[in-house]
Amino acid sequence: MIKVIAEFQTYWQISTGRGAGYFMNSLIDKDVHGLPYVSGKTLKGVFRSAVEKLDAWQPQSQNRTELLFGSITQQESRHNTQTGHLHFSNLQLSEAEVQQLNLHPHLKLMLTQSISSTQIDIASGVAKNKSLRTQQVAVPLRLEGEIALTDQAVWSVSDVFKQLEDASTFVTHIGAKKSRGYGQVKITLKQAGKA
Amino acid sequence: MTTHTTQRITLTLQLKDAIIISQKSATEGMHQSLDYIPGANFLGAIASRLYAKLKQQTEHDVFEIFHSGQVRFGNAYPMQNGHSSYPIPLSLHSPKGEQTQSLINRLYPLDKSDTGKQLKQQRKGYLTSEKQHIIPTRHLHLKTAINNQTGTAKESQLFGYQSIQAGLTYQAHIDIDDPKTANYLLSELKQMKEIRVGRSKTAQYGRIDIINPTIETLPTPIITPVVLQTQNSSQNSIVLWLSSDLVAYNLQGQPTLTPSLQELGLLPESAQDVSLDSARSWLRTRSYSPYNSYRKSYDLEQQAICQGSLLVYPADNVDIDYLQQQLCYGIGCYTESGHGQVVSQTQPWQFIFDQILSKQPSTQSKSNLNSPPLSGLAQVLQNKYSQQKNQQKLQQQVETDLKSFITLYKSAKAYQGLSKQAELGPSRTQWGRIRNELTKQHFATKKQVSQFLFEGDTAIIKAKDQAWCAGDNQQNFTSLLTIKINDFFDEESITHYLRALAREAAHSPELNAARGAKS
Repeated sequence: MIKVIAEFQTYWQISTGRGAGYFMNSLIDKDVHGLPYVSGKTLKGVFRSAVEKLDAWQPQSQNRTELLFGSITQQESRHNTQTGHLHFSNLQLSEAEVQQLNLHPHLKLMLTQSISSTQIDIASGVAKNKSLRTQQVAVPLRLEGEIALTDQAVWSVSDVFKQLEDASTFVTHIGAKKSRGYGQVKITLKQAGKA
Repeated sequence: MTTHTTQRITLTLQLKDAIIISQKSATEGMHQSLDYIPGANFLGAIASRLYAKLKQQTEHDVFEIFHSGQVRFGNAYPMQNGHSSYPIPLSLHSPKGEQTQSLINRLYPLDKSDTGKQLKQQRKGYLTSEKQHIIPTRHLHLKTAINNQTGTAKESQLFGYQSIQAGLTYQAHIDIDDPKTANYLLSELKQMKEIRVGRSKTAQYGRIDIINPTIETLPTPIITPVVLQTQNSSQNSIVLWLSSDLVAYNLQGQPTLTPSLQELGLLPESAQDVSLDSARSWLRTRSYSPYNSYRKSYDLEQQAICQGSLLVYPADNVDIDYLQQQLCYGIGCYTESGHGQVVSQTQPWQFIFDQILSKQPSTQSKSNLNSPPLSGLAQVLQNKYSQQKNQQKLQQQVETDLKSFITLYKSAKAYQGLSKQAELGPSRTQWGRIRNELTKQHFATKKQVSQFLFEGDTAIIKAKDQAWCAGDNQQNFTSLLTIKINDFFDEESITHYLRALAREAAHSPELNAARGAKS
C-alpha cells in the first residue's frame, strides 16, 4: 500500500461538467459527504501521464505503463484489454477532518469559492459582451489517498513505490485550468509501514 | 426423506468505494447500475483469490465450491440500522400521487375505498424486517479521457458511470451444503478483509470491506399456505417471494417465465404437476448476458424472473415438507450465483401477507459522540465562517441603520417646516470624510471611535456643526449616530461598521433624495 498526500497550493477545480443555472457555469465534484475531492480515476490518469513522461526519459524493457495502468481505452477490443496492477483510491480529506466537518456541516461552505472571469477585448480594452463566466473552485487543501498493488507477481511494492515516486515529480497540477494557475499541487508518496 | 442442513455464512459488507454493477453489458447508451450486488460478483471475487490456491491442494474441491451449486453465493442487499432487507414484493401498490406510508397488497382483492384509484406498483427498493423502505442512493458521474498532448478532452471518450453510493452497508449470505467446506470458506473470508467488485475496479470504484463473517446452521425455509381470493373464487395457495432473480427452464430445456412446481424441482417426480396461478402471481422479467471477466466473454443470455416477484401456486395436493426441503438448495438454474433464492415466511417476513402494509419511517441512527473541540482545518474554517457571518450581520445592520438616517432626514425637514427639495443634514461629502478618515485608522473600542469622531479640536463632527446638529424634536444626526455606535453588536468591528455606514450613506440615492440634494 502506498499513501499519497496531495497539498494543493492554489485554488483547484475538478469539474462535474454541470452548471447551476444562470449564476454558476461550472460546479466542482464532491464526495458523499459534500466535500471537494479528487477522484481515483483522475489520480490514475495523472500518474499514468507522469509515468509515460518518465518512460520517455528512462525507457524500460517491458511496457511499464500498460502493466501498471492497463490497456489504453479503445485501442484494444473489449475482450483483449488488460487490467492494470494498481488500484487508485480517491484523494480526500483525512477521516478526522471528515468527521469534524460532518458534525459541523455549515463549515463545508467555506471549502469552495465562486470565481468570476471575463474576456477582454484586445482592441477596446473592455470586457467582451456575454463573456462573463462564474465557476466554483475549491480552496487549497491537503488530501490523502492510497495506491494499492493488486498483483505482486511482476513487481514488489518497493519497486512500484520507487517508480511512482520518480514519476510524481512530473505531477505539478491536477484538475482543470492548469495553464491559468489552478490546481498547483505538491505530491508526496509514503510506503505504508515506513516513516 | 433425510433432513438436509445448510450452513450459512453471513457477510456484513461496508462499501469503501462506490460500486458500479451494470444492469446490462452494453457499452453504449445510458449506463445504469443495479442497486444490489449480485452473488455472481462475490463468486468471481472470491474465486480470483482462492481458485489457484485450491487447485494446489486436495482437501477441498474447487468444482464443488465454485461450480456445483453446493455453495450458493447470495446477492448483497442494503441494511438499515443493523436490519437486513429483501427486494420489495411486487404485489405492493400505492395510490398514484398520494404521499402515504400505507401500501396496498394486491395479493388480495381491492377494498371498495381503493377501487377507482390509480395504483402504482412498488418496484424500487427493499423492505427491512422493520418494514422500512430503503432505496439505495446511486450517483451518476461523467468522465472523460484527457489528451496528453493538448490537455483537452479526448474525442469520443465521454463515459457516464452510475454507481451505488460509497459508505452504505450491505449484507450477503453464502449457503453451503457441506459443513467442512463452510468452515474452510469462513476461515478464508476472515482473512480476506477486502474484495473488489464491479466495473472500473482499478480506480475510484469497487472496494468492499468484509466485516466479521459469521456462520450458523440454517433452518429449513418455512412456506405457509394461505387462502387467496379473487373476485370470483378463493384458493389455498403457496406464495414464493423471490429474494433473487430466478432463471428456470422447462422440461424441454427452454427458458420459461411461468415455471410449474415440477419445473422448479419442488415436487416429487411421481407427483402431478402444479402450474403457476397467473391470475394471482406478480412477476417482472428481464434478460441479460452476464460477462465473465476471467474468460473475457459473455455467458449464455439469461431470461430471468426478477427478484421481488411473487409466484403463486395452488396448494392443494402439494407436499409442503418436500417443497420446503428442496428450497434449501435454491430453485432454477445458476444457484451458485445466488439465483433462485426464496424468502422464508417466518417472522418478521410474514408481513407480505398483510392486506395493508404500513411502512415505518426510515431513521438514521444518530451518533452519540459529543462534539469534540474543533482543531486543524475545522478551526480555520470556523474562523473564516465566523468572519463571514459577522460581515453579513454587519452589512444587515448598516442597511437597517441607513433607513433610520433616511427617516431622520425626512422628519427633520418636516419638523422645521422645510420643503422636500430643501437641503438639510450631513452632505455626501461629510459622510465621505468619515469614511476616508476611518480607512486610515482603526479603533478597538467604541469609546475610542466616539472620541475620534466627536471630541477635541480635531473632531470630525464638531459640536456646533449645523448639518450634524439638525434634527427633529427628539434627536439630531449627532445623537442618532452616537446611539447607533453604542448599540452596535460587536465592539471589535466598530470601525468596519462605521466605514460601511458612511460609504452607504455617501452613495445612497434614497438618502440623497431625502436630504434634498440636487442629483
